[in-house]
Amino acid sequence: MKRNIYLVLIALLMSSSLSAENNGTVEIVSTSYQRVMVKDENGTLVETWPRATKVIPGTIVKYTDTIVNTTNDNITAVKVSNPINANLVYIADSAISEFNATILYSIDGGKSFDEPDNLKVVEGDHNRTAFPEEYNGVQWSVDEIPHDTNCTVEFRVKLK
Amino acid sequence: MSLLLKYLNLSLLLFMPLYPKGTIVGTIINNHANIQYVMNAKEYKYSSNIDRFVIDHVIDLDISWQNTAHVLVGSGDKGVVLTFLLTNLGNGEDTFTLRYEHNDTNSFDPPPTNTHIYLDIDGNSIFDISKDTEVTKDINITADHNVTLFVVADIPDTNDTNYTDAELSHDGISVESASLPDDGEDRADSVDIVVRTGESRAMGVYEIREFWFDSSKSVRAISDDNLTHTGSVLHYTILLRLRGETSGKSVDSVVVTDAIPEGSTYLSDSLYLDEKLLTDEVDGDDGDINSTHIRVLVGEIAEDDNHTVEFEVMVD
Repeated sequence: MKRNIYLVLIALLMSSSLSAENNGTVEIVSTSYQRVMVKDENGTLVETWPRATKVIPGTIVKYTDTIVNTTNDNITAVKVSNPINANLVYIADSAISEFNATILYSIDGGKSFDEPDNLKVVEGDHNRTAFPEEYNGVQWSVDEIPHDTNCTVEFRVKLK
Repeated sequence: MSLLLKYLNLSLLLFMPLYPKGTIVGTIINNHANIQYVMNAKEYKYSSNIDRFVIDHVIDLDISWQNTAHVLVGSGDKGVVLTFLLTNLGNGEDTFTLRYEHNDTNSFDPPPTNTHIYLDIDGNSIFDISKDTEVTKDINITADHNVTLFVVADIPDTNDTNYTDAELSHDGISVESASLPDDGEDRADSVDIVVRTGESRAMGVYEIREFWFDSSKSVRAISDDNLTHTGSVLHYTILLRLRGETSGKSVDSVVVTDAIPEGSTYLSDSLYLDEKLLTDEVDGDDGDINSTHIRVLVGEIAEDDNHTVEFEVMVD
């Protein structure tokens, strides 16, 4: 019984939804939405984004990562990185941020991030700039997120 | 052994990749983000929750006729073949029900008979009745794979009384996915089925040739009791002619080779071409025999020609 309590405590300490700060928490919550086109009352197709639970190939999926800072302190030098699943294809220029952010990309599974022009892949006997479809990670760098503030970053992919 | 090889080949065929397309049904797509930041001069790193969704089952198929032109046929033709390609465009293995189709309202009459659907076992897209298997039940095709199918039919022998040049018959295959959901089926706890194309049909075309070469063989017993027994003589007649719209048409260099029936012996000096006796030896005339075959050089057959080759054997 005592051992189980320790395990629960350890799990809570490692949880993504808790931080070590007093006076609130810093959380990051990842959520997926899928694009569904529906007709409005006028018969016009409009874009909707319900939660993604069951998806078919070819669907556009939007991921949001929301940083929730409920502490009494600002957080700085914030870096959010999100690997891209191998079954998903990044959609060019879809990465955005609610706050001003520097956005970098990875082609090595998130080990490193860089500007698009600096991402090179070997093709035959030369290097070329990676296509956005080849990105497998995105990183947002935000200077500061004030206390009691949320900041959402997002990107879109297409399911293979 | 050959049966085993046939099924091994079938497995290879059905698992040959066509091209990667569509994440496989049931795949779980996980996502998480990582964050690092500084608060009060101290650095923190966390991971987010894991967001996940599942890939639904897309039912999608395509069947298409592969012959590049109408398949020319003539009265009495056997085993004429139309070729089709069936592709599972969905993202999961699917089972397909195949049915032979004939367009009754747009067909020469009488229509093709003895129709069967065969599966191309060796993957060469060429029908071979000794290798390819008749489709008698539903077939499975894995995602993004295809199979070649053949419609094989006979053209009724109408003795030229029905068919005319360039008449058509539209014949093909209808296919339906066996995974189509039932109405009202609740699949809330599993993957859903999304139907893009659940059934389809492709038709090919048989076209009556302008004219064709026809040979037919008959036999009659020559004995006092008209029965066949040891010592009976069998008289064979092979009729050669052009059929269809033969006006002004001819074929050249026709050679008839026919096996001496097993259990019989050729009767010397019984080989005839158009009632003219041919020698049995290879000596410059139009016929000769060996221990197993008769051979007759008929040459040209023109529009209204009827040529006959006759020979006799004695039952051993």
